[in-house]
Amino acid sequence: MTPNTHKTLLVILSQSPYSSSLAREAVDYCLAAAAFEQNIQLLFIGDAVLQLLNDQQPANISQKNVAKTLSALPIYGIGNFFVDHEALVRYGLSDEQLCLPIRKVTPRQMADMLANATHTLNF
Amino acid sequence: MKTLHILNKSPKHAFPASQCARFYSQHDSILLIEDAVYYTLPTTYPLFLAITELRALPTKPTIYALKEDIDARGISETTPNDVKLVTYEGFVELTASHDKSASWY
Amino acid sequence: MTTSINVDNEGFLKNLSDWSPDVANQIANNEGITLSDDHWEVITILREFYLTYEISPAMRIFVKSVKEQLGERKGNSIHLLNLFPGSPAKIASKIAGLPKPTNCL
Repeated sequence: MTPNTHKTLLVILSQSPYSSSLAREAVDYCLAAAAFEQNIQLLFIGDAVLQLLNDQQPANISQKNVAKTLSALPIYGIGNFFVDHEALVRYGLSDEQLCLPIRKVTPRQMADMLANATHTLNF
Repeated sequence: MKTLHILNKSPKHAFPASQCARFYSQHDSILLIEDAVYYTLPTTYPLFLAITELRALPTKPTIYALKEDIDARGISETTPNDVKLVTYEGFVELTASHDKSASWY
Repeated sequence: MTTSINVDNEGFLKNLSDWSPDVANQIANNEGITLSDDHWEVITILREFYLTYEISPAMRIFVKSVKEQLGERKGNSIHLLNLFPGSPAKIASKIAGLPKPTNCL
């Protein structure tokens, strides 16, 4: 077994925040993985960039605020956030609208992230 | 590190296949299951190839489709020659022979 | 005074908006706990955590956030175990009117 420090867990999120429970499940998964001190990277692609919008107020649709739970991840020791630059552009989102400090990546970089990850999970 | 890319959504959803193409690295494979097996139809297969070849690949991806899902949908007669059919058992072998699996939906 | 409060089978409030300090006292009584100032400062921290992140923290992060706000003397599992015997994160969340902590790993 290689030590945990050499393993990378790539969590790829691709769904909008309230279309399904996947956004919540991804956060729950990350919190559980963080408890085992795994090296976790989160990559937001496609509609999942919409999870990052920091002014969500979903109480009236009886949902938990996805942006708020995402912003808790750094407290749990998860600090590697990446976003599909093209998806940000498609929805016209700017940095100040996002709930996390996040690195923009190109398709080439995303393919490399997947190729280099030890494990991956798509939500 | 080899990745098995799994698609399960019908051709009306362009996003999963395009993501699969963007994340594809040389030596990876693609497996079509559930409604994604409709990509093997003569009219949609060219579309699938167009999407998955968006990135200039040195080698063509190996494409598999789940036989059970093809048979269930009555489209076994039209499977393109370059799509390899696998059974559930073959599906398991594919996941074991690749370092990881990524599902695009 | 005991008004009936709407809780699930584990004693967690079904509607978070039903919470009030009186309700907290009532839930605490059911747990055999009489709330002191020491309890209240922890309950306040938990509620603020939930307001910010919509997560009930499990033990590790619970201890960490209490330590950040109240220092080492109170931000440790022994102090929290004394206040909320048994399972501090779970019982404190219950009294604070929050959902059961997830990921109690």
